[in-house]
Amino acid sequence: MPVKVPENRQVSPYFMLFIIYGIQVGIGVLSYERVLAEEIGNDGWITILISGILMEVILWMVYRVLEKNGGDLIDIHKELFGKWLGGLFSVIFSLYFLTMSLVVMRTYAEIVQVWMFPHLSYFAIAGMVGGTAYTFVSGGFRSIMGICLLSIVYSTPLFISLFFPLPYVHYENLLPMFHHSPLAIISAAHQMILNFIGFEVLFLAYPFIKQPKKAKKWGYYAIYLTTMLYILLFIITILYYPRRQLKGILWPTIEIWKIVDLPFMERFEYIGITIWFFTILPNIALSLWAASRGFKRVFNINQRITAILMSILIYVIGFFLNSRDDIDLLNAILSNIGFGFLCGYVPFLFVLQSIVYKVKKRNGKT
Amino acid sequence: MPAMLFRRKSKTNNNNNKNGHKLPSRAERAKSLSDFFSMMEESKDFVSSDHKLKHMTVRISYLNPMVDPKSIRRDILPYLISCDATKLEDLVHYLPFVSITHTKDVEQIKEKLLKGFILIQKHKEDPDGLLLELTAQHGRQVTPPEVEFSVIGPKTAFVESLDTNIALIRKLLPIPNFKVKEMSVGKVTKTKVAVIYIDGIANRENVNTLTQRLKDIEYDNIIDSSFLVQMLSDNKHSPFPQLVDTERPDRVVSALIEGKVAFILDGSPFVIMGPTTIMEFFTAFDDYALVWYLASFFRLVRLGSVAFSVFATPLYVAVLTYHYQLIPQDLIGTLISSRMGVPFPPIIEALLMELTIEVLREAGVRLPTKVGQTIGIVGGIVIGTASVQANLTSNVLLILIAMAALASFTTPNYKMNNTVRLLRFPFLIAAGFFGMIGIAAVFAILVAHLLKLTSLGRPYIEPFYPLRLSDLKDAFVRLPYSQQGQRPLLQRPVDSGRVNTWRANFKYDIDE
Repeated sequence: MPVKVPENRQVSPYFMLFIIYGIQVGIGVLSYERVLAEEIGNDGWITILISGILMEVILWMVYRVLEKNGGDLIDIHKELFGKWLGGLFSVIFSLYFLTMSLVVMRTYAEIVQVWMFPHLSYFAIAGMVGGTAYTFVSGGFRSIMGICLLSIVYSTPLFISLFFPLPYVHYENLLPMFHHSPLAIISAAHQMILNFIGFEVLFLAYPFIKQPKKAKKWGYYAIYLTTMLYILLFIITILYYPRRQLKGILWPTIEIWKIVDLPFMERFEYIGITIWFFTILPNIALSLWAASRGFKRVFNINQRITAILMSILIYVIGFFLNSRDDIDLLNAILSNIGFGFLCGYVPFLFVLQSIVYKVKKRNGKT
Repeated sequence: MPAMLFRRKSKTNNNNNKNGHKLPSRAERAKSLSDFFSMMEESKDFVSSDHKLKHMTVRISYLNPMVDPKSIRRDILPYLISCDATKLEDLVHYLPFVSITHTKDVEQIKEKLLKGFILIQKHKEDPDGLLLELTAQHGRQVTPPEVEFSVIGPKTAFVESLDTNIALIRKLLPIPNFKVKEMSVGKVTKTKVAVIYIDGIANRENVNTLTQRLKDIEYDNIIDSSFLVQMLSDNKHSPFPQLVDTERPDRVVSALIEGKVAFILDGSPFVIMGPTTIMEFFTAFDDYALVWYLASFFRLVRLGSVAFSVFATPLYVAVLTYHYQLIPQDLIGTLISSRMGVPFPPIIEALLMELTIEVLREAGVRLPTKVGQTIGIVGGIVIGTASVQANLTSNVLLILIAMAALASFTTPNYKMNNTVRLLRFPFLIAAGFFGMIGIAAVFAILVAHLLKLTSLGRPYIEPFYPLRLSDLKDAFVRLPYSQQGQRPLLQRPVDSGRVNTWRANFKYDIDE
């Protein structure tokens, strides 16, 4: 029985754009240029393009799986794997989102500690971020959509930082083009996964969208927008920094913010990191919401209590990850799990579901 | 469970005399009336006396202060004394009143007598009488508005009498669709409330929600409409008012035409309207009187000054305490020299000054006018200058705080003014502890609160969050009247077209 959400808790179809854009643009965008430069250098923009196309295909598969079933992931798991195994898979899915919110929170806390407040403890930052994210989760899906929309509005001032490096670029950094093998370019795409994961939240958020068929095109636009943003940012970074130097810069995007020179303000990256607080809020709020909703749908426990417990859990666990290596490891783990989920599990679900439905139809006919 | 029992009990009490399934007997009614009279006679202002007419005697009772004394001598007694009636019912034809109620219902007699009606009975114990309405009009005349003053535009404001207020609105809305529904709230005060709306534009849901909530109010003392606003709000603990109050009839009429529902409380000069959005609290009548781009500019100035008033001091504290690297090189000399010698960190300095300004403001409200001017000058100028010279505070901060205080007064609505004043403090404290991240966190919590807020069920930050582009034409900016052909979607009006925009915007071609 697919789940039905009351109409006053649903959102208009064009919010699909904000969901996907909001959860994809997070902490990956601050450091991905270094990762790509290490792996593949100045042809990285082709990698980003290919990853974007791959994500569009996977989004198409996600839509097909959801449409055929009509409900959310818990229903799909129940249908395909039965109640107990399906419940287990749904719990794993919720834990995946919990990990995502933990990673985003810890990475942002590290950035604040490195760039703004060296002596501020993790507890204070995580308390603020987690507490704020919880107030959005407790307002329901609609208020999370509100912050998705508003965070895009509040992050528009950051786009002026793309204009300031332009007088200092070296166009010859882009050459020689296409001197990597296609195989190398495509295999570098797995480094970009961290920037694109997150739209699996659609698996749980699909029933909350009015007229889902109309909403599909907004999802494709969203991935197109994120891809374009990443390509633009990558090209400007590559034009400004030579590849060798880029390997040593941990957060190239923040370094690009340092170039901004406004008459009334000296260091723009402080403003940038403060605005970034609003950019990661949709990530953490949506992940927390998805995790607690997954648990609620499987076990029927109160979502508010689950959300509070999960916030406290990631608050506490984040404390034990102190060094740069730990955080790097965490990002790598999430990247691998995400890759496995997006490029492995979703196609698997797609194929399995079409087989099961064909078998059911044949059985139904006879 | 106990609450339900209580409610059921009061409901049956109410139904006893109204539905008339079991009317009390004549003896019961007479006893109840005589008990009532003996209670009333303990007050000196209750007048009750027998008069002998040509063929019968009558007893006239009334509450002296509530009745116009000249009218008794002029409109009632001469006619009574010279009439030929023998029964109470015939007196109706002799008295020069349009509506006289002849009733045997003791509850109604008690209620109306307390409201200032005159009771005429045959003799004292008779539970059967005539009720005449002759209440004296106390209260002030219609005066210019004090809180929502406008430079151009009509200068009428509501007064405390319900009938005068409805008359002021009816003058501007001479249509039959304008409906006025009355009910009474408050157990002890029994105040009259009139719910007004335009049938055919206002959505029935809004009317029903408001009426239902008014009926459900359980409180004894309802004196002012601001009490009702707090009891009828969707979120009673939010600093943001969810129903807008106004003392201008033209504002009420514009809101009614857009499809809002309003209610007027007898005794309060403020009319409350809903459902509303946060942008309504920043609009003034002058916006509609000027050309659209001037009006848009002033509206943006107003919004900008509110933002400045909330964020200026917290940003000062955050930047000077934690992020001094942000200050441009030319400015840093001024700031450092202004803070030299100040013994407190910026957060303590800012809190002290903010609290001083709040004290000044509260004192200014309560001072009698003669003393007020002196204290204003003493407080504002002397204390400020002296504290800068004593190095207790920096002059840059003083400028910022004074400007922020001034800027917060640009809000046309008094309730929102108070909210803006209050909002500054959480930002200030967060800035003192966590710098700009603190300001961002408190701002995010504020946004979360606003996203959940509803006014009579409709979203509070309406043109922004459920992004209705067509409603943005009157939010941040005010587009010209030629663009305002549709009513805003917030109230879900039944009839959303205002004017025939084609005919309104029709232009002849060149040289036609």
